Amino acid sequence: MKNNKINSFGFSTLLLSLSSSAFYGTFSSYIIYKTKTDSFLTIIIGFIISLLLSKMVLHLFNKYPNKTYIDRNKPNNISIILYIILSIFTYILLSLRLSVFLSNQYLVNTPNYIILLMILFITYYTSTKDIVTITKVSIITSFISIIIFIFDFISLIPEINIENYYPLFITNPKDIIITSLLFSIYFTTLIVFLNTFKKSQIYDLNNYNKYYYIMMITSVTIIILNIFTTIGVSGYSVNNLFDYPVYTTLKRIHLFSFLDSMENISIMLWILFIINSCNINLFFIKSIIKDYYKISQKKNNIIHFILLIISFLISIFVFKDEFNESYDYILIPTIISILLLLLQFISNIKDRLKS
Amino acid sequence: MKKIIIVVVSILLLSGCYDYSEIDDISIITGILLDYHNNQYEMISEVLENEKESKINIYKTSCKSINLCLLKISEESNKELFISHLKALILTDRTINKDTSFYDYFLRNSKSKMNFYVYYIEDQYIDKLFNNNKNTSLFLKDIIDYNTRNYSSLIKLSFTDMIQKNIEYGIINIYPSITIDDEKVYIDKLVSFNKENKTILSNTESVIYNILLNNAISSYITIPCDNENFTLKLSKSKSKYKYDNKLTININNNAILSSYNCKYDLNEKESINILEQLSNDYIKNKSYELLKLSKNNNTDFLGITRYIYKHNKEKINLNNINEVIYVNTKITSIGESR
Repeated sequence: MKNNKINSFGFSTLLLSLSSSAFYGTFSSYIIYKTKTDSFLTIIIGFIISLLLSKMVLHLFNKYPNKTYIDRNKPNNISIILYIILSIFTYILLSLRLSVFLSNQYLVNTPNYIILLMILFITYYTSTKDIVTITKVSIITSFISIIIFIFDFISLIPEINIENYYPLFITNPKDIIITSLLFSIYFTTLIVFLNTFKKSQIYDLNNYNKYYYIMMITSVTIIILNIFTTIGVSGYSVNNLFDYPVYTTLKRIHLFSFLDSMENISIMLWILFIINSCNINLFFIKSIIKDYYKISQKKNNIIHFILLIISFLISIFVFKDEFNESYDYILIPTIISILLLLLQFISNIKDRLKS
Repeated sequence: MKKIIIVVVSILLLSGCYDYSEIDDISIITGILLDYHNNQYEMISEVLENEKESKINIYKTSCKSINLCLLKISEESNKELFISHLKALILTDRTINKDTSFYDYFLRNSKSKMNFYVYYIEDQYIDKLFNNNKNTSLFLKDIIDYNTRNYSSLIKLSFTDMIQKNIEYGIINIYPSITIDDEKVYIDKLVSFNKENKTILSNTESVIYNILLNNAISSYITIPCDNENFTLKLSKSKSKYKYDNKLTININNNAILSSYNCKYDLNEKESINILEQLSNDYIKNKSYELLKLSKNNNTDFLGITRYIYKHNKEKINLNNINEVIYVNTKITSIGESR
């Protein structure tokens, strides 16, 4: 990586984190609940839709490789504020979800806000660095995550019972379509934050498309295989009893009759993806404020910090430092995601009309 | 310097030091026997405590919920309870038949690993099960692990398997049943319940059960031949099911002749064919008997209706199913002697 330039592989690892992070804590239980053994079909349909959606999200990024986000999208005052608000809420939802999970599973006596504070601190610190640092972090975490995932998958294969995949095609087609659409939204929305880059910052552009598709396929493969093992090990009826069915399935990993609690290492995959997504999310907010309002780095850092404090306070007082673990939690992230995608779509339409 | 501060702060705040407990301050529950009387749970727990040395303590409590029972034990022992190493959950027929969601606590508690086995015990043995001299829960686990690996006359009923069979359509749970004789604890049969109907499987029926459900890793069957018998060690037993208005079960076995008292001359190939035929008939008849037992007691422990629902999406009454069983046993070795 040279002089604020990144390589396409590093860029694509961010894609891996952004597309997968919303899945583990937020969406996996919902997919299994709604589409049962037809979850694979749902994800495949959702992935096809998300390939089209991601092209829409990165359309201006691809079209104007030398322009910044502000020059490409030309937002007005209202839309920039909307972007900032929606991005902050996305950040809150990602970090809060992770902190609630860590608190419920591991640190039961520790208040949520302490864990949230640590996540905020780590992601804030990383987002103050340049994109080269962020992509370096992303590359390392992606490698670790993929190794963890391969280990988990191989360890769970002996626990799979083929009968748990039956009966097939019992889900109402309406549920499959709605869940596929939701999947595609969740899979694609966070990719909006990749717009913080200029495409010309990628110095090996000839590899860009190749790595782009490789990482999208890797991401959906990880998700599909996670669902595959989750349903195969316990069946969808048992998984519906849990808020974190993927995590509960990982508890079944035992090695050599004495290695236990491997799920505590395996869950690193989700933590790393979320941290990466939060890093780039905050970096996006910081970049668009600086570019749009043309303020100095120092002022930008102060505003960035204030926004972080506001996110923390919103988490504590609005969401009351917890997340309702019922299926209603799908609604808020979906609305925010749709609005973010809509804003990007409006920018694309404006550009098309101008040209 | 900044990085060092970040690392130190992260280690202090994220490594769970706040919740840390010394091993001397925790009581490790290894086994729970759960009974249900007069709208109360009666719990006998086997708890491992460490002070100057490890010792096993047995606690008896009764209360409205499992959580309260465990809190009482924690108060009595003056230690925090650690449930992650639970190895055995033993149930009585009242707990199984009573429509209580006794398993809710183990599902909901984040410290519960849910990797323990579930057993059944009759009333007469309840007070004899746990004692201070040895860790019965670990011993029960060893019995099950050894048996399923070498004899396949018992089953490993893990907690999540039990939950799955409780909530899925078309299958009833079957439990390994504990017997105590002269202070010796062993598991000698499988038991299934459907409301008040109790079905007991003998040793041979348990082996056939495991063969039919593809759980038999290695099993022994003694088959009569005229007035004598011979014993086969079955390995690689595979049962395939197909439903097309009638249920067809194909059972394939590889077998080694383990003992032989029949009159046929093993030097002749014809004798091997006769033994194979006898084995096929025996296993087929026993399989039919097991299916009939399941139908008569209206206890679908084999999960036949579940299979049909999963593959054909039809919900059919067990007694309305016609079945045909084909068995193919191949004797691959007659041992060292002829």
